[in-house]
Amino acid sequence: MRNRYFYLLLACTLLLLSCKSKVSSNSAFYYWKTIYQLNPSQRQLLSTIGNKKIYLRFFDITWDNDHNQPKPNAVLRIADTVKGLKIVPVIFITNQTFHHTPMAGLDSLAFKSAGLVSVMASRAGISYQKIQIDCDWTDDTREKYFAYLTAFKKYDKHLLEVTIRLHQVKYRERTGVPPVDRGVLMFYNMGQVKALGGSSSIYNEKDAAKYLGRLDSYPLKLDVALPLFSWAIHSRDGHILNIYAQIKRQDLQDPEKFKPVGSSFRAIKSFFMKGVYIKENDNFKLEETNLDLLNKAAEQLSAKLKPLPGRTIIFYELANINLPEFTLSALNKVTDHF
Amino acid sequence: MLLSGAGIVWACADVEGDDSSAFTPEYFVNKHYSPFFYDGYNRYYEASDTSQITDYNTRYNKLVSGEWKTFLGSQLSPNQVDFLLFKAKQKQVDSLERMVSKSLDGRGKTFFNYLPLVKDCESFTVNTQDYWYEKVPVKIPPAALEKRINTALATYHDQFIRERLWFQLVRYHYFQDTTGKKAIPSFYKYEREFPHNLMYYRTLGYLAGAEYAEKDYAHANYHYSLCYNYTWQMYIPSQWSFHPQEEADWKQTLKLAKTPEEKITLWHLLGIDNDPGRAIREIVKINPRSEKLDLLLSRLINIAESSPLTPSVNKVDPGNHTAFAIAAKQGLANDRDLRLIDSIGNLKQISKPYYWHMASGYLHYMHADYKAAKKYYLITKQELPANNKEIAAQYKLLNVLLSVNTISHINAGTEAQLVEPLTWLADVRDNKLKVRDLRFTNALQWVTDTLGGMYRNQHDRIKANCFKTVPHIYTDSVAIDAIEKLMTKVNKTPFEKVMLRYYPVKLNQLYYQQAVLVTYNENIKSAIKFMEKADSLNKIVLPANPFNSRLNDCHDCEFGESAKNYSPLKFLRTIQTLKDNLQAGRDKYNSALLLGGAFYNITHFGNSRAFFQNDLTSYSSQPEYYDSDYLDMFTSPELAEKYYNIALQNASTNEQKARCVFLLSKCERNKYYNEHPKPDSYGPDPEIPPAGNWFKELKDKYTATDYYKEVLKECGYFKKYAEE
Repeated sequence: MRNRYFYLLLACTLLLLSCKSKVSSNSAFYYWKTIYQLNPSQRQLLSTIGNKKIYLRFFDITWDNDHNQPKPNAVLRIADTVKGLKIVPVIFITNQTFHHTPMAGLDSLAFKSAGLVSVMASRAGISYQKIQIDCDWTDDTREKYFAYLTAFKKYDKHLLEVTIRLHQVKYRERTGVPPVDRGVLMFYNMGQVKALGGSSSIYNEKDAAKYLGRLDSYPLKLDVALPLFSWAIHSRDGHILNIYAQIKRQDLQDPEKFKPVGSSFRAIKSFFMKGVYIKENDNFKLEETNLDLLNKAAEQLSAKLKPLPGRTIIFYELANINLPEFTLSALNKVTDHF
Repeated sequence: MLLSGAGIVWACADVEGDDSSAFTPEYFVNKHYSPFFYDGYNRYYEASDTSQITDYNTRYNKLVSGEWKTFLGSQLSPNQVDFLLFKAKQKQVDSLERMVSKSLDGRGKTFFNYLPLVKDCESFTVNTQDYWYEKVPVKIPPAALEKRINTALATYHDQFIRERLWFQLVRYHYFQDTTGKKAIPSFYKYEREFPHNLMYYRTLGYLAGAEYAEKDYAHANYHYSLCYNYTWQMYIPSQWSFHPQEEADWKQTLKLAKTPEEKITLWHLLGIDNDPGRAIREIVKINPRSEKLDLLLSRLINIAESSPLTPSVNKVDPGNHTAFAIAAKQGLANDRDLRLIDSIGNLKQISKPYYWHMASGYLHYMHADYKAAKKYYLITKQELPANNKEIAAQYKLLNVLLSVNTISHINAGTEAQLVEPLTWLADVRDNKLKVRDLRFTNALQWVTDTLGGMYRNQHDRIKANCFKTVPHIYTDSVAIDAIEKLMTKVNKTPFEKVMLRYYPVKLNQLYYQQAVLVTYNENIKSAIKFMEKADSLNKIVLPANPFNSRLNDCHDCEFGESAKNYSPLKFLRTIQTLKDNLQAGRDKYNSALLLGGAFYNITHFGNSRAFFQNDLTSYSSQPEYYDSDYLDMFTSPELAEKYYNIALQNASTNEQKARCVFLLSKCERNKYYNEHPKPDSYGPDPEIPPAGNWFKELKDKYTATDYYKEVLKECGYFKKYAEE
């Protein structure tokens, strides 16, 4: 019985794949560090899998409490050549910025942020077709965020796209549909980050399913962003201290330092590691993205998405890939789901 | 607090908030450490005088200019020195030099020769730019400068100037070569010439930065700790830069320490951001009197207050007291830091025994270990420094928390005991007792919540309500009567007197509330009596004519349209007159129409929410947000409907009838809204309600009236219906 079900599923999947094979998708990468500098393997990944297309975070905009105004933060330093790459500048804006910025200040914010993108791009010799804005807006900031986007379009004539989170798809009546040309559906960070236990906050099928019911009727054309990162959640007394990308499984499997407890690792003494101070009894929970998980995510999502020729699949993110299993053919298979 | 590694900027949630603390570090720790007082939300704690050392560009200005003034003597005025060092452009320097050149000696001339070099070096070190239009400001020092500095070093022999030139050289190399390779040799080339003063340690800071860039973390962190130890003005940059990477480099740093004090500083630095308990343990082994312990102990206490496992003053649900006590006691056994502080308190050599014992008491309190807390507080009492109002107040505050916590049942005896602490706390709150920086607000909240909860458990709703609002109490007129009686009682007990200082509601608010309640029962005579007693509140002006029956509801639009000359009292009296008229058969149509309008307007849909929305009933802009106590009262159209029906029965013209019919249709629709609230306040707007009987009647019977035409014009929904 179980076998029959499996084959049926397989058949359906194959059918789905073959139906969709006419629709071509292409992959790209996010780059989210504060210094743009690629090592040879990143460069190779980018040109083989990523079609040389990179979504480059230019800067954040955060609210500056001291001066009571929004300000650019963690501005990217471009320390490497961008020749031959297709670059999409990305601005990340905290939702808090819109909580604090008055309606009357949005036009100037749009003017300044469009200006900063253009200055940064021209200094680095980057030409680009579109700009992406990433903001986890909510119903109470919707009005201001949309006003900002409208103003942005006034000052920057490139195509404008924004990231769309799952809750914004599900509750579109509440959060609204942004006035832009295109969206990128972020298919990760969907669950609650928990100190211990529970499913992965990066991707888990159950949490994802709750949001996908009406995906096919979302009014914007949607590209897709998929996770290609792992992290370790550092907690003390059940209270999360930080999340680290640089702490990997092999660090936590050192028996001199950690003892595995359930699915986490507990520090058996106090020490420094990779610049992080770890106190005796601190806990680390690993949330890893592997190929299996990624394929599951792609499969689940592609079944619910409206077909779109030339859909871009953006992997988050280039600077943090270290699993050898993410090879050219492996990632192509993921993209082939769409 | 901790920095995310690997240069990745995570899209974090943005939260703001305030720490829940009842312990003031200011009273125990040298104020120069104040930027490092625990603050769960900001990198640096903001005390009154932190700004002078958090400004990266001007932090050393005062010290630097002081040194120059001593060096130069009286040949330049202090203002001239400040101006030349920090403000003047090169042209201004030149013209001032021309003015004073005659009175300059060799030192003065050297100063003016040195200034252009300083100004040029500042081009890559000082950064005040608004970087909206700038790339991230990494400035490359101009190449020619290196030669100028070296030439000057070969020219000048005065140690004061040479040390500054050395500083400029090391800093130049630090900025010029970010690998650190050039700054290190230039530091050691001249280092031996100079005394260990501020300039020396500032140069040492750049050496440390270069070592850090070379990944020689052991030396970098050791040198940062020497800078930290030199003067409080260097605390922030040194502590900010101090970052051991691996256990191996940290152990090597410890080995580099040459004196006990140097070792203490290293542990102190480890303790600030990472592990105050471990640092305290190590420092006490070296010197239990070290003042570097003070900051760490304050951080340990303030962190414990915010820890989820040691629930602090404002985290406990008083109704769930037992569960909290069990959880907190479980944490007690595992709290190694607490055992450490207890054991240090036993040492004879500590410098502020009252601080350690108060800390022990408070930490035990946080673990619901009240017996031990009391023991430690009693010890503390004997040790409190004389004439220190702040520390006495801190002690008192913690004692108030403990004494409220140890009450299991309130009776006349415990109430008598509470008079004094509650009076004190209210005096602090009301600023009758001024205690600088005392963190009393969370404690106050906790005390009132706890007492309120206890009285509720003992079924004394009136006293409970004095401390914390008891649900539904303001729709219970018997209870309100009882509160009024308590407030107007002539011979109040001392406890009643102080208890009422915690009750925020005034008598007139209670009378007003009673007037509102009976208004909706249509007991207008009684409402007038209450309202007459609600002085000042009964005289507020309602924002629109409350008898007006507007065609379409538009709460705020009406404010400008009709005459505003009704106070709540006048409003009620007019209702009574209209009711009398109606009963006597005088002008029945108009009286009923006005009464319908009045009762409509004091629902959510009308123009006079000001009549019923106040601090007791709360304010709402959406019908679904009313408290369940008031939801029906403030949204039901039934009273309005009753009088519009009477008006309809007494209408003599079709115009009048059409008006009544339409006003009744509004009531019908509101009823539908009430019965079909939005299922999910975030969801889509509900369906348009069905047209209903009154729309039909209006369309069937009154198309010929002028009012009908007006409705067609004003009410799109009716127009749509009529055209169907």
